Amino acid sequence: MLECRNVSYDIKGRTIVEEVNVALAPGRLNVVIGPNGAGKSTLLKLLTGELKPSFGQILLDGVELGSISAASLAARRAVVAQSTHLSFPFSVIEVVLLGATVPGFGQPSAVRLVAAYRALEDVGLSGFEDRIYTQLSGGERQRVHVARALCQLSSAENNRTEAPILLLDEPTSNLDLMHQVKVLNEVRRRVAQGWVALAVLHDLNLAAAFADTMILMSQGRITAAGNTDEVFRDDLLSAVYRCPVTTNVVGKTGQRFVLPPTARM
Amino acid sequence: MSVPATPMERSVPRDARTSTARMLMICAWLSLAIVVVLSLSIGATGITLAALPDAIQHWLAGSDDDATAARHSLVLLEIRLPRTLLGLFVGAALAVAGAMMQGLFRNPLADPGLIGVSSGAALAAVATIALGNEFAAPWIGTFGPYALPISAFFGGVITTWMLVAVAGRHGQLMIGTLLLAGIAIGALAGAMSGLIAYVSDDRELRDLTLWTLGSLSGASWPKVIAVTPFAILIAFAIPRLIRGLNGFLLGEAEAFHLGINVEATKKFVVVTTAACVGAAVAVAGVIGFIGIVVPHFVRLIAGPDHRIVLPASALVGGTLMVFADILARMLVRPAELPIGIVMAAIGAPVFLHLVLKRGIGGVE
Repeated sequence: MLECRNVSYDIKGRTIVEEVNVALAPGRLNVVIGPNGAGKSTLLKLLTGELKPSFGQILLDGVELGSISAASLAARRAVVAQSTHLSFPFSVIEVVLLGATVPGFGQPSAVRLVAAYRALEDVGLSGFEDRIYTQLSGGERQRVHVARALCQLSSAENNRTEAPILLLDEPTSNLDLMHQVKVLNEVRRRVAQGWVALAVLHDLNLAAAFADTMILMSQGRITAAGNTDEVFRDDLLSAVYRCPVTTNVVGKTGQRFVLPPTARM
Repeated sequence: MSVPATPMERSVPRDARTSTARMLMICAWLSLAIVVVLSLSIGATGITLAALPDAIQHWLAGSDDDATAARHSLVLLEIRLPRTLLGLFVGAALAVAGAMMQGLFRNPLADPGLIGVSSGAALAAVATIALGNEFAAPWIGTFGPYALPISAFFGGVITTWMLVAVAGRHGQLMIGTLLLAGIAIGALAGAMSGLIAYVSDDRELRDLTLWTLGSLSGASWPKVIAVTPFAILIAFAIPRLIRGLNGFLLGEAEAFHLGINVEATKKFVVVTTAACVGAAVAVAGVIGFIGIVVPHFVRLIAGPDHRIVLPASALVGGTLMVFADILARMLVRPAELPIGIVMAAIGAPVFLHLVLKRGIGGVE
């Protein structure tokens, strides 16, 4: 269980995240939505431990996040950042294996190598192992980083009782439709195995299709949180996004969606 | 989901990169052995390695009966051997320092010279040469011939301390600030060295020139012993920095996500680099290019993984330095060229060729 208690984060007197309370439980995919500058990425960075809250506490199983070493955190949670810039010509498998902690000159064990290959398979990059990362397309690079995070958590999976935690900041922003679905399905599959997961998504329809819990942020605060039905409402979305939003439901499946407001003449 | 047949079966091309790395290490060790033999065999006196058994025997016996053997012993064991060992150390230290800086700054063009450490060390040396007799007589009186290297080393350490003070905020090192402050401090130190050179007399100026262009001609056993702790420091640091530097290539935040203690790694890199560069400048003066060319060459062949970049840079750097020193001794004998000139003459065209042909190491 990863939770924020009354967390605020200021930088130079400006409040980016204000009095946020969230509890991330295993077995649910939490999706954060909200307009640009709402504090979504900052909240995610607070949850990774990368930023320290100005007020409030972030607790991992009751222990303050700041008091846990980077190494023990990494054994437990993995992060896909919004954009990762890697300019050195690693091969794809080398990038994925950066997730598998091997100190010094050691080479990754066969178990970890299998985990890395599986992770690449999961994000649709089988056969890309020895391609050079810097020569891949944007979407392929993004999937390499998702695979790296999956590999980081799965390689330590065997001797662990606590739920692994996966934090994703717009993991599908560069992906085509098929790969958006593939990546989020893989996340869901792990959630079903009891992982803790939180993803920041910009695409409201993708959020509606995959979220168990939806967290709507606006101006640093959580405006609404709950099941998709509770958050995906015309009045809430219209107010937060400051444009008229009409939600609809697909007849057969009950899946919710919005259409972008059409340009007015 | 299907389980891959066996990881080994499917990882053949990855093994190909690993085997390239292995080949590189083997070739590097071989070249190192060859240049060491050459360095011991070649010199102005015409004594070759064939005289080695004779020299060792003389050295063990310690008698002065045989004048030829005494001369062999002097040239091989007291002049060429320490010079060769010092060349290996200086080359390895500068190349590893370059590789570490490039990892820290995520920039293949970073170099210990870039953050001002070599300039600071050189300034201290220049000041000792030119002003020492007037202003620091007790210092020179106390340390004698070692006053110069000791000054240079502390010059490097003080520069690093200033950098850390400027670029540190709340216990964190700001990498961008570190780079900018390093360039500024380096430029300032360079200007001060220039000013001192301007007011120096002719004899001092000649010493200064040798120092700022680098030379191994002052090699001796005490200098070899003085740099030994730094060689041990490099050997200690390399395995402990591999994972951190690999993680850093993804970015500081990502390195933290991967479980790396980011601040400790940064400080370890800065201190190790400063100590290596300070020690190298202290015994051989300022020698450029090796910190950029060597890691670059290694990355082109074996990829950017620090498991190979760091140890291979040490071997190739040492080899290249000893090779350049052989040329420095041979080209205008019986005089000697400053090794910095030889290194630039080898390094610059090779570097240009690599950049034009292959791009900057496949780095974007």
